[in-house]
Amino acid sequence: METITKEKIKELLDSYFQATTSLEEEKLLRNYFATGAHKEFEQYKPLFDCFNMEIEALDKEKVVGPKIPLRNTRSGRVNFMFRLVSVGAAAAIVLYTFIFAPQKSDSLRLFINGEKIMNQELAISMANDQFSRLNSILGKYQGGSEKLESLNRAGDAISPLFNIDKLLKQNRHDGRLEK
Amino acid sequence: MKKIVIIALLSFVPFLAIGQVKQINDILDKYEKNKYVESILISPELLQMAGESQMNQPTKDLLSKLTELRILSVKSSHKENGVSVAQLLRQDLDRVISQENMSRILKIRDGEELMEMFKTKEDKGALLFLNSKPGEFTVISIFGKIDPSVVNAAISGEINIK
Repeated sequence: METITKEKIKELLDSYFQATTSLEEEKLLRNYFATGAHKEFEQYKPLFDCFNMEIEALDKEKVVGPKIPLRNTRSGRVNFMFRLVSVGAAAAIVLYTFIFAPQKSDSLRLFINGEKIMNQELAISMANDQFSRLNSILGKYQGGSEKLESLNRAGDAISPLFNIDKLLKQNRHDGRLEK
Repeated sequence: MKKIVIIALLSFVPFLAIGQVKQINDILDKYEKNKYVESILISPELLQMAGESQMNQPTKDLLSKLTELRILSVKSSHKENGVSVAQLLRQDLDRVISQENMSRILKIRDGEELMEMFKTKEDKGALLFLNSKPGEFTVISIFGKIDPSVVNAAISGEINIK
């Protein structure tokens, strides 16, 4: 490999900063700084390192091929679905807040014949009457269910006697009790 | 993919219960200001405040599960456009009960009086008491977390206002 002299590099750098270098000369400079530069030219190394990195990245893209849209990769699909679900959840929250959520109600509302009455005691008294009537009907159900329960218990109590009677009748027919 | 579909479906389940409660509330709101109707809405907080000194802990626990009590009462004789208001209200409620597959828990007939108790499928829903007797039709709605303890309390007559 031809070694480049310091003077040649200096000359090329001057031309570079005057924008008069050819592509070949620029490539020469990049290769020089990539393989290690003289101390005198160390200050220019970061600049050409940066150019080299960019060129490497461009070269890699050419080898790998065009960028595949994220949606077509496995992780891309997962990310896409998560975004979809999160958007759906946000939409559900908005729907709930503005459409489905029960509107904040008053602690008391009393309407009699279409007119709003602001009388807490009257409302509570009327509600109490209605619940008392309801509870009295339910009380009759309670009485009825208790009767059923007592009948069931009576039935359970009678059944052993019934079985004994049945046994006795069987024995009578067999003649065991005749003696 | 299956998990995502299940999560999406599950996230909509709460809306089903809210839909049932909203439908019942919409019907009660519709008749609330009718000139032939008596309508009462009471929050459990108000009941607790009203009966603070007399209330025992089980009653307080019960009220803490409820969000609202609503009562609508209409005389059977009142008509609008030739149709009984009580009948219209009953039809609207029957439609919701049928559409939302509410369960009938109890039906009691005492002479000419008929009382039916319905519950929404979801726990966070409503208990409906429909009481028909000659001359009057009454709807009592209890909204909130209607778990078995609330249903038992209602059947046992433990839900009292005073």
